[in-house]
Amino acid sequence: MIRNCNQKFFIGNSIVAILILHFIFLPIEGNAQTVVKIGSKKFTESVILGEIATQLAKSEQFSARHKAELGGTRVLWNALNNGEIDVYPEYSGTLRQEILANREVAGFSSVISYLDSLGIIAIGPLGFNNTYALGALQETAQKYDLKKISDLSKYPQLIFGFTNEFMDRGDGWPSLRRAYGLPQKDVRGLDHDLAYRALENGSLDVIDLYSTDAEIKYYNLLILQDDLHHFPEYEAYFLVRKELLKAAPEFIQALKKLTGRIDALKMSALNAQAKLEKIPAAQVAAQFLKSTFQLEQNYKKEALWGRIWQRTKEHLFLVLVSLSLAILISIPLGVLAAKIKTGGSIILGIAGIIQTIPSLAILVFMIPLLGIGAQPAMMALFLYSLLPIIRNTFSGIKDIPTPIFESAIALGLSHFDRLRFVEIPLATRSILAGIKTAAVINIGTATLGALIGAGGFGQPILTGIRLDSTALILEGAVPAALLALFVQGGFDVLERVLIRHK
Amino acid sequence: MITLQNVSFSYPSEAILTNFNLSLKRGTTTILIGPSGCGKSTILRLINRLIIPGSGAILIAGQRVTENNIQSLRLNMGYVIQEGGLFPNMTARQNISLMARRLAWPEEKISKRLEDLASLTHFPVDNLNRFPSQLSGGQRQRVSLMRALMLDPEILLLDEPFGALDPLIRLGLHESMREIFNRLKKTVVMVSHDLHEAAFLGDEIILMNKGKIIQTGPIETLIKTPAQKFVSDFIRAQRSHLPEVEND
Repeated sequence: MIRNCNQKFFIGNSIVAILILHFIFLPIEGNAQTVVKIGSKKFTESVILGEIATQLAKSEQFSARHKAELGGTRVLWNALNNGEIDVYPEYSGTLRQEILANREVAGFSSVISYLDSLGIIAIGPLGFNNTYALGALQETAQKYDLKKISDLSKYPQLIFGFTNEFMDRGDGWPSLRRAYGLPQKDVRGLDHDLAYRALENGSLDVIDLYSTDAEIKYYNLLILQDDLHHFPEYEAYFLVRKELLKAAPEFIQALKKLTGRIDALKMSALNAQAKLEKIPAAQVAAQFLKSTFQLEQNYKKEALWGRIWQRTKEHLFLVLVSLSLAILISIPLGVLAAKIKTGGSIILGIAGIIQTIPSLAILVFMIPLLGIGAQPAMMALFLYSLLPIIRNTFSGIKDIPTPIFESAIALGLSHFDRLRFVEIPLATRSILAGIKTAAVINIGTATLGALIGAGGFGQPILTGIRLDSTALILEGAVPAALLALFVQGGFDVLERVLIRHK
Repeated sequence: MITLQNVSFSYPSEAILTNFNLSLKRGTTTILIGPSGCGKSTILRLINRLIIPGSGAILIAGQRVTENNIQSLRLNMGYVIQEGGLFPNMTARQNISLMARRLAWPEEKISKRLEDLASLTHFPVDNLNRFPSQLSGGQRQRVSLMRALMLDPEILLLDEPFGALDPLIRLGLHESMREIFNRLKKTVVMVSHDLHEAAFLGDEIILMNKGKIIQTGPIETLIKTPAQKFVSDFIRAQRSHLPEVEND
């Protein structure tokens, strides 16, 4: 019959496709056995500690999954409380200054008892104090004769670059500035791994450091003495959900053996292996466990193509599910917006507002609702895909010339038939363009999903930024770009198939 | 056949028709003519309920047109507009037969009807499989006319159907149209701003200005006994386009 009924099959097919992909891509959840879920933050030390815990769990014959590089403290803390992860490495200072910032906690013992009330135990300390510090290049230090943090107050022109967490945590920049009376106005928030590069090329004069950072030695940085003892201790612990005491007691015992076994020098050395010698974190952890506990780990490095295939599956899963849902919802909404007089601008307005929310913010908003992993990422991507499709459906229908629009009415076609035979087919080009835009935005934005544990091409990019490895960044960026191009080409072909008329 | 009783229609900024009355006889061809903005197209759009009157009633064959019965009434009302309003995503054949298919006509009946219409409108059958963009302007209007005639409606509403065509093609279409109108005896209401066209096709001409009927009658009456100075002015303005006063 009429060619453009194709539309329906197109949508129907995409649902089937999602279901199939769902089965292919969803990892088969482990058997009844306990799966220990370990999280880590997106800096190298945390990833190494997470990897050590993961390998310890495996050596005790548990299934273990390491969700590495999950954004910042809040993401991990919420994930731990929701039971989406069982274990992650955390610092005493962070617990007091950030997580429990609004509570009066006298000593660390009261922190422990508060954690206990939440069903969390702290195992450690591991033996090193990774506190905050401020650092500068030796030549900057000599130029201004900087030795202590208080020396900074004499040079308001110095440019500071701090990690985003440091910018507003309890012991971070606001209180540091008050404590030392620092006059600097030019203070930028940025990623910790990028800060070293900015320091090196002279865009920044002073940055915050973690005292076990491998780069301190590598760049030969001067650590400014905390002469007013502003920074608290940052001793490392593993935060563990109590359920594991019953479910995996052997693993808890193994973790406890780590107490006091990693001193500052050791930790710096492990960080240096990963960051400077580019040894994968899993291998660093394996070597540590071997030398410390004579634990043999059968660590195997995944081949490049295997990794890329895995990332592609994760990425496609995020994009396809979110985009398909967005298509199913947005086309009817766009039609509705075009058909109803007043409500139309409301629909477009709401979709427009969603679009203006920064993608990182939307990802983090989703965590309390959907936890970490693929679901919140898909939800965020879904929300982002709405506007281009709704808007293009709306304008595609609105742009149908009045004579055609009115002819369809005058012919006696019902509302539904007008949509089916005239309006939707004529809006198809515009709708496809909207879907194409949404898909390309979606593929790009999905790389941020790695920050909340959704995997995809964002994972190697995150690791690449962390390890200053262009090769790794490209390993994520190139496939993502290729995928975007491929999808764009696919839509061009689809357009030619669906629209024969001029 | 078609009656407008005290019909008023206005846009937010201006009133188009106020307490307008009109009655059209079955089987006649009536041409609504007048300067642009005089309300002639509004009348067609009101009859088809593309727009809804602010007050008053529209009756078709004695039945008042309402939101509930308009869908079935439209099936008895062919409608052709200036640009044809053909659906660009469908071939000529699909355009013409769309409504018949929605009404589940048997395939043979559709084919037969298409053949008849093509010969009636002098449209080459081979071109039925072309998309509107692949047809000439005149052919497009013929397709548009076929679409309007497909269900064999009693009423034919034509809104400046020749407006966008060049004069030679226009002439050819005029002749086809007159033949069709004479043969089918439909109740035709056509909007035009061209007196020549009106004289050639219309049994009766209704000359309008600013939402009012100025004079009604055959072209000869309008020429010989103009009701107002406006009538003679309007005729004089178009006279150069008239070949000679027609006799038939």
